[in-house]
Amino acid sequence: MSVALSLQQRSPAIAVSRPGIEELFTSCVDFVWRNLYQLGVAEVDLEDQTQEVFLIAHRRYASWNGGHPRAWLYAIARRCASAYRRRGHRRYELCVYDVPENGMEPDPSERFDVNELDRALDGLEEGKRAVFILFEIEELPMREVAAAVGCPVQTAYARLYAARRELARALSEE
Amino acid sequence: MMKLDPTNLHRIDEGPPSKLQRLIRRSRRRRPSTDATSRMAARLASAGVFAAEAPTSSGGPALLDGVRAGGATLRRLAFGVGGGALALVALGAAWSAWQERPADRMSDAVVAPTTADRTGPSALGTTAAVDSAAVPQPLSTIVPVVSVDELPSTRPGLVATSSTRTEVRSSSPPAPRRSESEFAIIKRAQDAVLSSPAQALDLAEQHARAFPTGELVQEREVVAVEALARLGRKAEAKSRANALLTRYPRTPYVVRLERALGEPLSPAPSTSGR
Repeated sequence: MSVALSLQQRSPAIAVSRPGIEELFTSCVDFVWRNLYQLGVAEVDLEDQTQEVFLIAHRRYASWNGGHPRAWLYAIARRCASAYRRRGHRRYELCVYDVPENGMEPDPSERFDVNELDRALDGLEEGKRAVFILFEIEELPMREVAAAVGCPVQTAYARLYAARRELARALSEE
Repeated sequence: MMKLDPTNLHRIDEGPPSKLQRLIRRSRRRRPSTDATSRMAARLASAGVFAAEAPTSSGGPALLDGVRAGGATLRRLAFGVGGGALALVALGAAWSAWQERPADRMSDAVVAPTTADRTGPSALGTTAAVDSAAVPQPLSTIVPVVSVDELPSTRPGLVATSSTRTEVRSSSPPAPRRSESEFAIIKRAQDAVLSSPAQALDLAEQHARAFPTGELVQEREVVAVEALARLGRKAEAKSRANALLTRYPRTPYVVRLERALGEPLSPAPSTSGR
């Protein structure tokens, strides 16, 4: 006997102008990956969590208005990373058959540089860090940055300038 | 002291060279490996995530949509992103499109061997795909190459003439195909579920023997459950689905498993059924 599952229902009419999840994945997978990393997801879990972001995006697709796709994905990634960090206390140890591949392209020298920036970014308050990353590294327009972090555009500018000052100071001290 | 002047805002990247600028540029290169990206794409496609956006023609089975969308994604990733290993993964799934796009084929063929060298013959079957990718490369674009063994020790007249080139090529044929790649087996199994579930089940068993700890264990089990369900072996299908859920509690395939079984799976699979 078969039981009808509500899960089988597809989301209804989908606007033509909105990019599909597949398209979003193709264009934004690197963006999501980088931001999850910056949001505190461990390297070994980045693949899982990135996948999770697109699964959630798929589930919430019907409620998305189609604007600022990266800001939308960032908001999902932020919630994912937050939930991930809350679970952290239960995952200190992992039994694995094989040493997990961390999915990063191997280049020790680049890694050293990137880690230096990571350390400097870690010293920033979360709001400033998010604005700096989205504007300077991800090159989002400031309006989209503000939408992603959920603050007025002027506030985003103020955070950006503060972040720049603090980073310049931190890097010059090293 | 900086002023807030949004109209005159430049990114650090656009300003004068600085340490911060260099670090920012490097940090942009952080991205998942091509292998990781293709694994995610394959899983999302299999989970039906990409299917909802595909034109749902006449409400066909969701599985078919998923498979179709999966192929399309891998193809687009391969040609759009241009990732070498990704192209290799996509090769198996998108051979027909491959034939239609000679220009892309060439660029990917050039990329392929380097990536394969770096990643090695991974579970995603780079070896077999490299062989196929290398074949269409025209000889005219290959720099004349003479193997070390054939270099003259006493005869200075020997140069890399066209005949030498031909000889070199014929003496080093593409490496023999190793056993079929993990991805290829799963893809064939997925394709066979609807038309020939028994064959899909065989392929799943073949995969289980060849890749007991492979990357696509979840995908294999989903195929097996679907095949068993279509063969009317509901009890086996259900116990296998529960086993998958026990082993991978956060598997993205729950919906698909439930769809195959026609009933919900209990969240605590230790109690059989509900």
